[in-house]
Amino acid sequence: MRILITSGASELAQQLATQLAPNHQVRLTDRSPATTEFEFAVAALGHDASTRLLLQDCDALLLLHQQGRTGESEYDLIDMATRGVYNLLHAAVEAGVRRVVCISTLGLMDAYAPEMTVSERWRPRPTTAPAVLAAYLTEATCREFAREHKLDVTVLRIGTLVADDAELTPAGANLRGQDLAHGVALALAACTRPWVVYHLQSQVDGARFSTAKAQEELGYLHV
Amino acid sequence: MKVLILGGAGMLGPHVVPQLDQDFDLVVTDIKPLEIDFRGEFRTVDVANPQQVMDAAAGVDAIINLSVLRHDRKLAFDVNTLGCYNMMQAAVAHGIKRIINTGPHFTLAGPTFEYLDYDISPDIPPQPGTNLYALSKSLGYQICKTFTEHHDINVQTYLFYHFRAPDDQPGPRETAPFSVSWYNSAEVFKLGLEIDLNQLASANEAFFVFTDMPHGRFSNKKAKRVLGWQPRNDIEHFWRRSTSVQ
Repeated sequence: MRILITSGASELAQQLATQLAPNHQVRLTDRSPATTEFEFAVAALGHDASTRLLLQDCDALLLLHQQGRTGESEYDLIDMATRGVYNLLHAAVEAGVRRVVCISTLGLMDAYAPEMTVSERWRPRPTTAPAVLAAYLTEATCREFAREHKLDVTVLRIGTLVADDAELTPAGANLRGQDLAHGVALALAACTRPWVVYHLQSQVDGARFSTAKAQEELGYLHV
Repeated sequence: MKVLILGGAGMLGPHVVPQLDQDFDLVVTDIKPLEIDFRGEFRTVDVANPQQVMDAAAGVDAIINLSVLRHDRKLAFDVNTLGCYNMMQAAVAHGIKRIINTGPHFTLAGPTFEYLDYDISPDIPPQPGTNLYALSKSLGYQICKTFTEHHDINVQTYLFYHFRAPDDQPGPRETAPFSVSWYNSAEVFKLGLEIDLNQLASANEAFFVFTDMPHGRFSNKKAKRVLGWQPRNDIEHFWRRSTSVQ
């Protein structure tokens, strides 16, 4: 499968590309250049041919949340989460790329009390923190393309990323990089429903969020 | 009460400003001049410019957002989505508690509602669809709603569809079953500025503003019941035909 990964200059995109590369062809894109061993295209995600070209010959789009980019203003963040995503999704439709995996954040569910057993059926409760609000708006944009059956969108709401050898705590909603890569690979393979949301965090006793749905439907197993 | 109007020189502004001018201190803003006389102040403000919105909102008690852009993708998101973010940031910074936002009906009720259902009320989850105008406005609505959940700010969103003038004549295209005269639509804003915010069911309330129509596709009951807005019988000729035989 050839996969376009957005926010390609980010460390997360590079990690995922490395982990997906043995089984897939990956193409990275970002608004600024980056040094990488992978195919990389600079694109501003405007309403133009350069955005359409990104998706040429691709089978799937992996939409990475822009969270944590150095030098990114709150306005850039929200602009890319809305206009940028809208342009990219339209380009995907035009290119016949149906599979979209959207990496979102479990920060959308943080407003619930810790003792609640929050699942994907619960309403997201974004804050006005730009990164969280941006993730919410990206989900909302993707959802409309799914609602019109133009794309098959799988949303992975992920916990706070930690190193693979980091100690996990029940309060942390942490996600190890290897677990994310595992979840992404499964989601890309299974992405044939118009709209589905999964919560992903690494396994720990008393985990903040359940991953039962991802385990049952995707075969997500903690490694 | 000092009221900031964003996008005041667009389609709706020239109808709204005269109805508010006597009772409120208006600061009308837009990227182009408002070509009617009024006693308030006019300032050039691009709603997509955070600092300009922040500066214009200093010292006001309420904001009415009439800004809209429909076609160009960059400008539509700048105005309809980021414009709401800029407005809400300014409201937080200046302690402004009363916001009136506006948009098209498909901010909430896109094709998945409009083409399938009847008695559609504004108390529905947004289903704008992928139309640029609808989605960019709907994302602005969601930004406003999120701010009301975390700050002491109240947002009323007034949604419109077709505007008509009483002396216009019906054309070949049927008027939408969600139509209102320009004058009648503008009457809702004074009500929204004067309503006791404690009377509203939540800090984020949407209203469909259109006159009484027999179609039954959408419902305007909430605007009448909550705001006390009164539809006028001034555009009925758009859906009535003559039954007299010559």
